[in-house]
Parts: sequence; C-alpha cells; structure tokens
Amino acid sequence: MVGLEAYPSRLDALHATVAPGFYVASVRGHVLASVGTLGSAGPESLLRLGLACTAAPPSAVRDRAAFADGLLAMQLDVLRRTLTGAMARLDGRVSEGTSLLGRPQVQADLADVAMVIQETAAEPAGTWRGRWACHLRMVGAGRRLLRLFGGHAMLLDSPAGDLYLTEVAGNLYLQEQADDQD
Amino acid sequence: MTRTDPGALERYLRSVAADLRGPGLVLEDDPDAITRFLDLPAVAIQQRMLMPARFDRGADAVPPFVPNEASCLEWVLAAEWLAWGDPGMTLASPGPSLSTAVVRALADEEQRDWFFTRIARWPTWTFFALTEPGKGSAATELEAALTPVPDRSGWLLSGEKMYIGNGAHAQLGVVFCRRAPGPWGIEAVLVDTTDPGFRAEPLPMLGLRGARISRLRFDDVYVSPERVLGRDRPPSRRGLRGALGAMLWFRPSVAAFALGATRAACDYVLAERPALAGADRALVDDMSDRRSRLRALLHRAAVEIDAGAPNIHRVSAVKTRAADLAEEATRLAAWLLGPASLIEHPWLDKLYRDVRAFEFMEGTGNIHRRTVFQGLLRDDFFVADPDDLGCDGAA
Repeated sequence: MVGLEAYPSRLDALHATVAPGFYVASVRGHVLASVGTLGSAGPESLLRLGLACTAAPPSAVRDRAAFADGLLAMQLDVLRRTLTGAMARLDGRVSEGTSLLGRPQVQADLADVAMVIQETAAEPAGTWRGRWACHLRMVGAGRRLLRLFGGHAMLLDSPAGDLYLTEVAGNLYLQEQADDQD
Repeated sequence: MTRTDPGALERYLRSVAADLRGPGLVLEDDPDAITRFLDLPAVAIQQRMLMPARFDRGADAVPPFVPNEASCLEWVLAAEWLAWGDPGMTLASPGPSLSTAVVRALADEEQRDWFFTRIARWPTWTFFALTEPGKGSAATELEAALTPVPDRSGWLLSGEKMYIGNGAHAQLGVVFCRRAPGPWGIEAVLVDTTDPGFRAEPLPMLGLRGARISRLRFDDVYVSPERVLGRDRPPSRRGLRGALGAMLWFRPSVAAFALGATRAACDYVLAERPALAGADRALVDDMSDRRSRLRALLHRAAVEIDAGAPNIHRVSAVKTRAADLAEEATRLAAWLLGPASLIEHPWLDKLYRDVRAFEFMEGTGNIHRRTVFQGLLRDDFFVADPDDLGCDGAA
C-alpha cells in the first residue's frame, strides 16, 4: 500500500531538486507542496492527504519542464506501487472458492495497467502535449486499478489517496495551455 | 409508470435540488452538518418518496404531488435530479434508505409498523448493511452470524459490515447475516443502534463524505424473533431474496445518481465557459448525448422493474455505463476548465471525487459486466423491440 505521507514528502523533494531553496509555481501561479513546508493552506481535500496549495511567492521558479517530468516520474512510481499492491490484495481475497487474482478478467485489467506503465516509461514525453497525454493515460490506468480494490478505493488511506494527489498535481502543473506550447 | 405528471415532478425536483450545492460543500468538511439543512425540501424528498403514505406525517415542505412509496421510475427521476444538486447531500438525508425495499418486500405488518413508525419521527437515519470486509457485497458469501441464544428465544448477531452509508449515525437499519450454511441460511434482521453490542465508526473517505460511510461491528447484539424479516416465510423466500430484490430495486437509482452527476458536470462547464465551441464543445455534447441514451435505457429498465419483469442484465449494463460516464464527465470538466480547475472550483473537485463511489455502490463494474455476459449467453440482454417499452419520464 502507498503510504499517506509518501507523495507529499516526495513532492517536497522534487521542488528541492528542481529549484533548490525555492518552489516551482504552476502556470496559474499556485504552489503545491506538503503541509509540513507550506502549512495548512488550500482545500481540505488536499490537507487531509498532507498536501497544501498556496499562491506562489514572487521567488517561485516558473521554468516548469523539469518539474513536470519529475511529476510524471512520481505518478508512474505511484501507479506501479499501486499495481503491486493490487496484486497482493487480490491474491489474498477469495470469492467463490478461488483467489480474485485467478480471474481472467482481473488478470486482464492488471496486464493492461502494466502495459501502460511500460509504454509510459519507455521514453520521456518531451513536449507539453506529450506530458499531458502521458498524465491522462496514467490517470485512466490508475482509475482502472482502483476499481479492483472495491470500496477500499474510496478510503483516504488507500492507494486512491496518492493517486488522487497525482491527478491534482497534473491538473495544476501538467495541463497544456495555448500560451504554454513548446 | 409515474402517478404524477413526470414533467411537473422533474421541474419541482430540479428547482429544489439546486439548493443542495452550497450545503453539499459544507458537508464535505463536516458530514454531520446535515442537521443544519433539514428544512430544505430536497432533504425531505427521500422521506416522502420511500415511505408508505399511511406512515408519512406529511409535516414537511414537500408538496402533495410528490408521491409516497415511489415506483422505481419515480425514484429514479428523483435520484437523478437530487444527485444533480449534490450526491453527498442526497445520501446524507434522513429516511428509510435502501432498507425500505427489504422491509416492503419481506416484513410482516408488525415489522412494517415498527420500522416505519420509527422513521416517521423526523429526522431518523437508517442503514442497509450487506457489505463485509474481505467479502464485498457478495450476498451469498457473507459471514456475519446469527446464533441461537441459549435458554431463550431469539438470536445473537456477531460480525462486521463495511462501507455502510449513514451507519455511524443511524437509529436503525437492516443487517444481512448468516443463520445457517448455504444461500437459504441468510437472514435480514432489523437492528436498533441503541442495542447493546452495536458499534459504528465513520470511515475516512476520499469522496462522498456527506454519506457518512461507516464500519459497523456487532458483538452479540440480541435479535428477537420479531426482528427477523419474513419470519413466517420459508427460508427461500426471505433473507437472500430480500437482499437481491432490494439491490435490484435500488440499482437503477445508483445509475440515476451517476447520470445526475454527469449532467451537473456538463452544466457546470457550460456555465463557466458559455462560449465553449469547436472540439471542446463537441466533447461536452458527446457526453450529453451519451447521458441521454443511458437515461432512456435506465427509464426502460425502471419500467420493467415496476412491471414486475426486471431484466437484471440490462440493469447491470446501465449502472456500469452510467458510473463510467460520470467519471469521464468529471475528468472532462476538470480538463476543459483548465489548469488548477480542481483547486479553483471546489464544487467540481468534490464532484470529481464523489462520482467515483458509483462504481462501488450496488456492485462493481466487473461484477455487472459478468451479469451482462450472462444475459448474452441466455439471449436475454437486448430488447427485441425498444418501442415496446414506453416510459413516462424520459426527457
């Protein structure tokens, strides 16, 4: 299972790597980072998961390409860990006398997600349009995985929490805009 | 099959459902805040529509033409518009909830009196407890147990239930449990949450927080023989039959919730971007077109249920497709409203998370896909002549 604090702390580390001592601002002038570094600012839906969102300070860095690539790598990692977690969880659940992992339909879902992960990891996106497309593909794969968790996927402390954070981060930092072309 | 003019009913539902948006955001942060909004007509609609007329005290703000003991089609119309207003507020509202279908189907007169008389005291919340940790909503595999009480009549209920709407705040509910092995060993029992041994805790939810989804624990809760629903029926005509019947009756309303949320997401985009055109507008139009098609199928499925000739395969199909569509619609809305839309539009962010629950309510998509496939195997999925199935509420 993906831990509650995993994504926020990794996001902080990404800010520090891309812009040491600063934050990276989104195209709309927001900064997304952990509650630990930004304080309790922003929507409750994020705060409950350990992330805060504020208006970017003037010192924030606006060269976002490296940050965006880092976000995609984090999303890929969250997706991969969720896939591993799903396999373990489904292997341990039995219905009608057999492991859920033994069901062809479940196996096909897992294999499809694995193929998306492999395809996305094959080479960097390179363009904003490509980054957004990668992000959307991974969002779709993540949603598909979460369906295999049943109602558990609606819990904050399930893999859905980190996957939701990857979606919000993508919505903030990865979405292509007319004035944001290569 | 509606007893009132469906157009008038829909206009009324839409007008009162719009009042749910603001309170829905309040509930997002404080799910218990529903008690501050009990005077809203939309909050009282469930109470009216799911209660038999003779138990309804009629002391609420809902006009007389909103029917008691709604048909499936009438409830589907209500569910769609209420969810268009706010799904969380709808599910947080007091009333008989899903339990009403089990009680209506299985209870004897004394049990009906006990259940509905209590619910008539406004506000009273109820729960429907089927899903279990580790087993999901597979009715035939549940493990919560009824064991005989030594030296006296009645039973002791032990076990856990998971993902139960309003569970931690309800005053009573229906619990499915196992008295003996096999499908006919399943019973549906009425439980009062003040009974010793009942414990409940709300779960930390990512979305649909207003529904106060909970975990329930039963530690030797005493169940008198009078609380076993359908106690005078043969086992094959009570517990499991009640569970399946209730879920079949309510499943279309989950699809309706999803279609209402889909409509809400599209409306929201067009309100925020009234000049939306070209390819972006086409995406919204496509979403609306798909919603309209599923709505027609949903109404047909509800009419079949009301006619006593349900087709479980078609109900499963429309529920699954509608849940998928709601997710697609909210993702599309977040995209079309541009970067930071999930931060700058809190209601959209809430809807974006809320709609994901529709996949899991009343069975997951994969379960329903299997049901659709069974319909194909039996040559019982497609309607021979869609024109044969009229419905009053399609719009």
